[in-house]
Amino acid sequence: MAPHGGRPVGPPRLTSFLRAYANVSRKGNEDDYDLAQILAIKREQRRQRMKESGVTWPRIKNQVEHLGRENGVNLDCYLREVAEVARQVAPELDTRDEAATLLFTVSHDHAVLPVKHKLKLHQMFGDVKPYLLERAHKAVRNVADLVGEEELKEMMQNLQNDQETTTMFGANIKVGKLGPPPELPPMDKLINLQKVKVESKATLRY
Amino acid sequence: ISGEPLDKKFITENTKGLEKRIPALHIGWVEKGTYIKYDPPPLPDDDGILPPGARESWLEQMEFLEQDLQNLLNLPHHRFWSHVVFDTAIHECLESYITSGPRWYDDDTLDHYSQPIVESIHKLVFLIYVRMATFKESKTCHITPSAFGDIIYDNFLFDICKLLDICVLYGPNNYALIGKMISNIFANQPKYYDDLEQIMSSMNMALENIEEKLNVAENYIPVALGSSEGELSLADLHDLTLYLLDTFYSLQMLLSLHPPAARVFHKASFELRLSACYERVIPSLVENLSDWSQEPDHALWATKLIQKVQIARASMLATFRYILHNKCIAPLNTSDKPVSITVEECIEKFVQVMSTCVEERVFISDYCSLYPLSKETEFYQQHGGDITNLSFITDAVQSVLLEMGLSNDLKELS
Repeated sequence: MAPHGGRPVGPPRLTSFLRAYANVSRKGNEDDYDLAQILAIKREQRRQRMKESGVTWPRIKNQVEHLGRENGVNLDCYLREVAEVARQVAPELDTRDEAATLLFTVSHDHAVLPVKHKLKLHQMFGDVKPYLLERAHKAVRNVADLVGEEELKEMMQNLQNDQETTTMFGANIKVGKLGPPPELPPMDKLINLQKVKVESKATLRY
Repeated sequence: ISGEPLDKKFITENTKGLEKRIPALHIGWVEKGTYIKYDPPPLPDDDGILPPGARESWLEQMEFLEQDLQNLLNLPHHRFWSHVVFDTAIHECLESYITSGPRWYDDDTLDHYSQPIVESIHKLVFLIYVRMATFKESKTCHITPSAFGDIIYDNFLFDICKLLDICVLYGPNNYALIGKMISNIFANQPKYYDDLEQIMSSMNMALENIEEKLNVAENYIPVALGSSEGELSLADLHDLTLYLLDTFYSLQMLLSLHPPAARVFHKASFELRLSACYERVIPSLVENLSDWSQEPDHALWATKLIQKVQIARASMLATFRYILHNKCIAPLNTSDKPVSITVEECIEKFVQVMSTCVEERVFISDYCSLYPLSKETEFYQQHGGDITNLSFITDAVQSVLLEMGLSNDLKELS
């Protein structure tokens, strides 16, 4: 048994030992935790949220077309390109719009698609071929070039602002970051317990 | 403060034309959630490669967790409290972070993929605990202090293990806020002192476990020479070192953030147990690691561990210091000290502890190097104390230092 008791894996912690052996905490029921099931619920909730939020593919499409008309440019081919990539990464009809929304959202304000966003797309759609992501990103960037990046950002922001916003508890509390170690006392004052090992070359003769 | 406190408040709801008065703190306000537990970021295998999709999968889980935490903080006061009281799954989720969340002394560092999301979860979990430790959120959102004390204790919103985790995880970078939060919890629910008292035997057991692993426990039966039974692998030593460090850094943080807790430790004579543990464990741990550091393949790892042992030493000494200080020095410092405590009593307690610890030669040498006795002597003198008894301790420490070959440090003592 590890000296910290409790869990077979995980970092060695005093509190893991205390939770296992002292009777001051509520015992959790690990058997109730089914990650696969929870993830399925969460994914469904996420889809629902995206559907209900102001940022949907039909609204993005509509607003972009409007911006195009204002600027005297036709953007249909780029929007169709994004929709086509979405069709390939999410063949099912009910997730296709979500894919197009996400592709547009992560690409519209980045000249180069950040790795973080690529990971997010992989997370949502599985192992997507990089060239597809590049295709969609390029199409969105063409839109940004034609209507102006700032205008496009503002449009997306307006769509997002339609969602209900509340003030989160603690929004004004400054929380210290995960940071460097605190200042430690001078260790050189402690006894040096590391003895230098001396190997004797002498041999005993009898 | 205006309006009824949450524990007495009722909210009127209109359902299908019927007006219903529902207590503000009620299970009816809860939409039972499913919560993802925190897991540390995935680690590469021996070849330095992450399994395919591991990072994406972990990030997705952490984003779900982040969303849940944000939702909780966005809930109105009565809904938030109803959730944290009636939905136990929330606490398993929060606890998963405070137990496994990254401490500054952990081995694994966060990479640039995991850092932003862990930072965000770190902050959100902290804010949820701050919210649960706040009985007055605003003029209209408040809880009767005594009811608040019962709610947090009876429903395990906080327990001693959680407090220790919070202290060690958030204390170093949020000192003032955590100090206030912990003191508020103890002030409104003194039963936490009883729980602290209750874990003392488990704490002793924890120290005993370390000693047994290192074969230096008091009742240890030595194994025969040449037997491999007593040999410890570097992985074992790694676990022991980190465990020792975590144990004493947790206690050090709790005592520094909430000094009155030291009373419980002193009552259980924990400082004496600590000094004995130091004497047995530290030299043995360093010796074992020094042996490993001679092996070229393991030298780097062993040397890193020796540095961690050094930090554990400093933590053990600081923990001892907090207990001693709270019992023998702080009572003379406070303006509202009880009349019954005299400087003589403080000196007597100090001498009692030190005269036992002076037998632990490595411990006492290290302690007196970091916290010179001369300062204590001076302090008691300033408070009009008779320091004759202290000279006996000083003499004893001096002879220990001479024995240990540390005569250069003698001038600091006198």
